[in-house]
Amino acid sequence: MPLSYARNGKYRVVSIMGGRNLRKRLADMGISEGTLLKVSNSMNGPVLIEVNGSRYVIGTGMAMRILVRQEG
Amino acid sequence: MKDEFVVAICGNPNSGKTSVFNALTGSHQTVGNWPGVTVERKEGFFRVDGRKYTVVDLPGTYSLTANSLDERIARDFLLNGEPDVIVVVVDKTNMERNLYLVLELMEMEKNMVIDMNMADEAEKKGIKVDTVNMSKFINLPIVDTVATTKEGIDDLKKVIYELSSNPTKPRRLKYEDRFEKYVVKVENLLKDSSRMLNYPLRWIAIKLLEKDEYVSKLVDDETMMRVQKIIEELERNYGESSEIVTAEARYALIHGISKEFVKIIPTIGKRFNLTDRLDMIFTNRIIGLPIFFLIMWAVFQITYWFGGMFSDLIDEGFNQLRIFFSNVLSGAPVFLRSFIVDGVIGGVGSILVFLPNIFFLFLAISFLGDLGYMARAAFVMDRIMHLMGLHGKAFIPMLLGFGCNVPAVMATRTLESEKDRIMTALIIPLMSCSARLPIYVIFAGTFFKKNAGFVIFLMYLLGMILAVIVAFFFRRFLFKWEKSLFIMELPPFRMPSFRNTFGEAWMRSKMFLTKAGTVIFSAVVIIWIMASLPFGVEYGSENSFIGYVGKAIAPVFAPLGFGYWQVAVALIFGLVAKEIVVSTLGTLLGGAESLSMALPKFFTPASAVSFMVFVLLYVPCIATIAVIKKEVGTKWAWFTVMYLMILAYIVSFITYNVAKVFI
Repeated sequence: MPLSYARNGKYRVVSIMGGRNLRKRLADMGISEGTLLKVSNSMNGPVLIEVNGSRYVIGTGMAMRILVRQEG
Repeated sequence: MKDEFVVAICGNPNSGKTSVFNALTGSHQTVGNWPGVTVERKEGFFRVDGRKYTVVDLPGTYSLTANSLDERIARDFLLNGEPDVIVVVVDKTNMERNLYLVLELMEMEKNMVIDMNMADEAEKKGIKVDTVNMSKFINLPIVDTVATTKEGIDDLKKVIYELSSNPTKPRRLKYEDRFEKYVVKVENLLKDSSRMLNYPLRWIAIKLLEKDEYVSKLVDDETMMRVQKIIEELERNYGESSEIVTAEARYALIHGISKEFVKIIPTIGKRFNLTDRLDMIFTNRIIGLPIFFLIMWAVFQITYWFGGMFSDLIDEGFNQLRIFFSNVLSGAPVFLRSFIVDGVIGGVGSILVFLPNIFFLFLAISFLGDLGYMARAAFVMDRIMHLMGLHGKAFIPMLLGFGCNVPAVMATRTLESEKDRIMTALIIPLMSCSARLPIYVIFAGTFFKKNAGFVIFLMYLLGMILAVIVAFFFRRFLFKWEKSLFIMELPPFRMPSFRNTFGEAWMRSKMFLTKAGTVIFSAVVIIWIMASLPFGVEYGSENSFIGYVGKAIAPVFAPLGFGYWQVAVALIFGLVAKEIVVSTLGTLLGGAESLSMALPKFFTPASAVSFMVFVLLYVPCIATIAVIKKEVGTKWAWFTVMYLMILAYIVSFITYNVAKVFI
C-alpha cells in the first residue's frame, strides 16, 4: 500500500514509483527498495518516518509513490 | 609561502554548519550572493599566526548530486572553487547519513577535516566514537566540537592551520567486492582514455556509475560508450539501476565503518526525550493544526505589538525631524525645503517605519526555524497545500507573506522544484502583508464600527481563498498537473542560541533595508518630483503632474465605486508601499479635518469594501515585484503585475455591485 495510508508501525519499502531524480534523492537519504522504516506519525497524507536513525517528513505527493508492506 | 587560504564549510542541513561558521569567524562576516543566482553567500575570516583564513559557508547538502540550486552551488564550489581546506561538519548524533557526504568528498581526495559537531548531544545519547582509530583508518583529522558553546573550535582552527601547511589525502576506501569490481573496471577504462581529467579517476568512475550528468560530460564519447556497457552489465547483475546500487554500496561501506568505530551505549533507564514528547503535541493529528495556527497568531501579535511600539517611536522621531527642518529651512527656497522635508525625510521615514515590524518578524521566524518547528509546520500543513497542487514546504514562504511579501518571496529558494518556486512566488502577493492593515483599520473602523474586526478578518480570508483558487488554475494551465514532492529532515527540537537567532534576524533586516530601501527611496523621490512640478504648484495638488495623472486614471475606478482623482493618486503612491495610501488620502481628502470625518463624503460602505478588496489584491509594492523579478525572472514579475491588476479589478467590481444590494 502507499506509505501515505500507513499507520504507526514498521514497514518495508516494496517499490518506489518515480523517475530517476526521485529515486536518487531517496537513495541519497538511505531509502530504497527493501529499506526498513518506521512510521511514527501520519495525517492521512503526509507521514513522519524514521530510517537509519534519521527522521524525515514526507509530503503527501511523495508518500503516495512509495509502496510499503507492513513488517511484523 | 602562501599566507592567505580559503576554507570551505560544508555539511548536511541541520548539522550545525552555520554555528560552526559563526564560531570560527565571530563578527568578521559579510553576506553577498553567489554569482548569477540569489542564493546567499556567507563569508568570514579568522587569523592564526599571521595567516588569514577566508571561510565560505556553503549551502547544506546531503550528497554531491546537484538536485536543487543550493546543492549545485555547494558542489560547484567544492569542485572548482579550489578551497585549500574543507571542513565537513557532521552531526555526531546521526553519523551514518552524514558520513555519506564525507565519503563522497573522500573520493574526491580533498584536503579536509571532519568536524563531529553536537558532541554534547551525542554523549547524552550514549554515542561513543573511537575518533583516534577512525582518524587513523581513514587518514583524516577528526575534531569534536560543540559549536553553539564554541567548545573544540580552537582545536578545529589548529587542524585547519596544520592542513593548510601540510595537505593530506584521505585513504581510498574499497567497496564490497561485488560493486568494487565495476569501479575498478571503469577506472581502468579512464586510465586508457586520452582525455585529461582534473579530478581523481576513482571518483569519476564512481560518479559515472551513478550516471551523474555533469561528470558524464567530462568524458569522451568513445569511453562513455564503453562505460555504458559496464553499467548495463552491473544492472543485469544487480537487477537494479546503477545509481541506486551506488547509493546502497556507499551506505553499506559507511555501515561497516560505523560498526567498527561507533558504539552506542544505551543510557540507563528510560531517558526523558523532549523531542518525542514535543512531537506528540506539535505533530498530533488532531491538535497539531490548531497549535500551528495558535503559534502563527502569536507571531503576528508579537510582530504587530512589539514592532508597532518601536515604529511609533521612529515615526514620532521623523515627525520631530520634519518640524525641525521646516523651521530651520523656513528661509530657504520652497523647492529646497519641500525636497528635504517631504522628499528625503518623508521618504526615508516611510522606509524606516517598517524596520521594527520586519525585525521582529524575522526574529520570530528565525527563532522558530532554529527551534526546529518549521519542518513540523510543513508536516501539518501538507494536506491543505496538497489541494492547491503545492506541498507543505511551500507553506513556509507563504506564511512569511503575512508579515512582508519581500522576505517571503526570497524564502521560496528553499524549494527544490523550479515550478514550485515560481508558483509560490506568484501567489505570495495574495497574502495580506502588514502594510495593508492600516488601510483596513481606517476604512473598516469608519464604515463598520462594531464589525470592523470581522471585516478585517474577511480581507485576510479572501486573500487566502483567492490564493487557493489562483494556485489551482496556475497548476492546471500554467505548470501542467504535476504532483510536487517533498522530503525534509525532521531535526530534533533545540533551544536556539540567542546569538545565532538575533544575528540572523539582524542580518536579514539589514538586507531588507539596503535592498528594499534603495527601491522604495528612489520611487519616493520620483513621486515627490511629480507631486512638486510644475514649479510653484502646491505639493500633491490637483494641478501637479501627479494630480493630472490621477485625473486621467480616476474614471477607470468609477465602476468600482471610487472614481476620484485623490484616490487614484493614493493608489499610485501605494505602489511604493501600501502604508502611503493612508497618508496620501489623509493629505488629499482630509485637509484640515481628520480622515475618518472626510471618508464618508467620498465613500459609501459598499465602495469602502470594494476599495479594501482592491488594496488587498492590486500589486503589493514595487519592492515585492523587484524581488519576484530577481528570484524568478522578469517575465514572471510582469505576469504577476498583470494578473494581480486584473484580479483586483474583477473582484472589486463584483464586490461593489453585490455589496450595493446588501449594505
